Amino acid sequence: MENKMRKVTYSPFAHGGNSVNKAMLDVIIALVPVILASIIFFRMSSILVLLTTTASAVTFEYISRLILKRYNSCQDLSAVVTGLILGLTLPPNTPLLLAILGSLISIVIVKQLFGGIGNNIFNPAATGRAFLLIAFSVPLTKWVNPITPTYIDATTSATPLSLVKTVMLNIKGGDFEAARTAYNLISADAWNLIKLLFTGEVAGSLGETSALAIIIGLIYLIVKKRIHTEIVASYVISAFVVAAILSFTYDLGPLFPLISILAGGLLFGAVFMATDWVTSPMTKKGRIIFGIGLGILTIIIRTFSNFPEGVVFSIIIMNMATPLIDRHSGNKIFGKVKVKSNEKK
Amino acid sequence: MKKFSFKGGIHIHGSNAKKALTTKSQIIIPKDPEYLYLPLNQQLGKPSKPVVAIGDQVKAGQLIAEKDSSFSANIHAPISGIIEHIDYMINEPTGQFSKSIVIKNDFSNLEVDYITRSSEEAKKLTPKNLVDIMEESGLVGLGGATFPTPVKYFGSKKCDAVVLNGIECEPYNTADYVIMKKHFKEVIRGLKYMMVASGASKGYICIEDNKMDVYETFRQTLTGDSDIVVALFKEKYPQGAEKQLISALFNKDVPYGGLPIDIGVIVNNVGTAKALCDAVELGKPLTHHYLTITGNIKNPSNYYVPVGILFQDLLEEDDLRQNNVLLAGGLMMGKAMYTEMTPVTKGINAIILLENLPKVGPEIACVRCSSCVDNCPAFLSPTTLAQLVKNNKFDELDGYGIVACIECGTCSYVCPSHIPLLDYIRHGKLELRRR
Repeated sequence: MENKMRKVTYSPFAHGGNSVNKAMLDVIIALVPVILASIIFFRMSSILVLLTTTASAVTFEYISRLILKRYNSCQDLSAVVTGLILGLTLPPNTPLLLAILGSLISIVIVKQLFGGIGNNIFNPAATGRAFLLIAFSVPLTKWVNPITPTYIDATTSATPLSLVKTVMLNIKGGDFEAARTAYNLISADAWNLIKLLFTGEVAGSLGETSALAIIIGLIYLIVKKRIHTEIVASYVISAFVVAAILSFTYDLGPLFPLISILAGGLLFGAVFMATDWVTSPMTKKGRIIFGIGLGILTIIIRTFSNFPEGVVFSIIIMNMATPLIDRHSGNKIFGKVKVKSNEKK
Repeated sequence: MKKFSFKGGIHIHGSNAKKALTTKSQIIIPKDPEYLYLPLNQQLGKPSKPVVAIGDQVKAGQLIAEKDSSFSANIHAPISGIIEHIDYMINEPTGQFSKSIVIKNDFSNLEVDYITRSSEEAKKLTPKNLVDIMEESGLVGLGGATFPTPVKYFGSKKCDAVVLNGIECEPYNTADYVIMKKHFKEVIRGLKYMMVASGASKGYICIEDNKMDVYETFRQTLTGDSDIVVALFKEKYPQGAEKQLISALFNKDVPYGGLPIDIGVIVNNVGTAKALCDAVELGKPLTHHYLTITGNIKNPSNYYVPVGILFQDLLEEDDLRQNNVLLAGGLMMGKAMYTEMTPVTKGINAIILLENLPKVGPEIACVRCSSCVDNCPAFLSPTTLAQLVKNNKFDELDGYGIVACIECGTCSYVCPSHIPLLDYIRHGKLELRRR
């Protein structure tokens, strides 16, 4: 009888079938409602910006892997996700050259030079966006109204966030009376504003305006178990609480915290950027700390800095804190009385 | 109805369909083969010491190798025959090269005179008597770990509860199910002997909710018995791991690096309870046990086999030819055998034939998705441990709790980057032990 050697390996002899590729595909599917909303509201400019960032992100990924002599990682779709998210955080009518520059920073500097997927310290899209905002703040703070029956043509406009920002700047300046006056301007028709923020018929970055589309994406990710909901929840709740404290202290009315959450990129950042696997902590406890940090920092940056938005900066700052959080938020190991952080030499 | 469960763990894809292959099938008793191969290190601990010589005539049930220390076990001849060989000669399912005793069947079916005990006599046995019976009959844990059973009982620590593990969370295995279905009375009596031996006042029988029929049988049989609790568990892998079982049942954790007896609990497999009952009442040592043979084969079924029979004698030639992978133990925690010329030992409760190993992509960098951390039943961070092993930082492994790892394979199963996390962790454990 033939004595054939059988295939041998270690247990387990089964795999759940999960892969990075599938996870990234799910994120792209979750982004579809957001992309659709941005195309409905901003038409051509949305399509152009998104195509540019995505195509350039994939190209840069391919070229840098080639130069770095690593395996081609384009098929894991992470570059597509980075490109889409970067595009969705940019304002409509962003100069396309800047969009390409953003992709270059995101993919080459932030991701590939650190070793590619899994090894980057910062969220690539958030860092690319932050770079563009700092370096080219003028073109990146020009907003237009969305194309809807209410606004016939794409006129330059103030975003709801910039109104909120005016309130906050006045708080920072110590002029609470002016803050209240500015807030009364928004709150004159607050419920209507909230409605518009929910559907997305306001000026703002491409993917950030429609809370509805983002929530649809979030539900898809929750159903597919691709997202750490504790980050989203703790981020939104802590931002709400901090805004509520501000509102209470300066007597801004009950709707201010809600507007703070819906205006600007907070929801988009919470769902699609803060929950990035690579740059967020690995335990539940750590992720809650991470989310709370994000919420507090976002409102603080919005209130006390000169930048219009605090989401990307808070994400970058908390990314830096992730290794530290990981180290001190380890799960209680089975049967151990207390987690030993690794101090022994 | 309260269902117990532990934190962490996974649902294995298609687990119930895999079990369904063999739950309904008949139990096959294979004809005795010409040769039996009995490795001497069938149990955890020291290999046994042969007490027979080449050429000796042995009867079924006769002692052929005795325990070498207290942490070892006796081995008995399952059939009558002549000792043909005692040598380092055969690979044994642990993968170690070890001494084995080879018995040539003489087909005379001679048996030693078993000391039977009536239920009256059995009731009078003292704990000491019972532990002696466990030792004499070569009882080891039949859940797969082959921990010598008497060792659990002669400690000085006080035992409050004996837990019978009938969970069987491995996706293909149904041998324990068959034991509980066919021999539930023996299992209950075995548990009672264990309670006497340990001095425990409470007994528990643990069953997963995919085996509702045996759960109902036990519950009906035990109505009115307040000492024994039949506990139902949610189906989840690895519910059958003894430490996870204890924390689900008692909401109390076995200390890090400790044993269940440290918190006053003894866990035994249902198969061990049945074997103890046979040893006490029929005087039969542990020479035969149930075994599931399943996978990509024509007639998946449960078998009642003698220890030492070769896999080859149990499997069809067609099935062997069609499949490339031969697993002993289970899909998640078993071992792959490179040849079917491998003997069944006391710890093997399933043989699985698969066409091929699962196709997983090449290993890529960890994307920190934390699936392994969220699902680890020992609450470790497998990816951190793997990273430390990759960087040769073995000294730090203990600080991250590597000893708590039960090698269930959940981390490798869920990893989207296809990192063989458990392989790295095993390497780390081995390296730590070597120091």
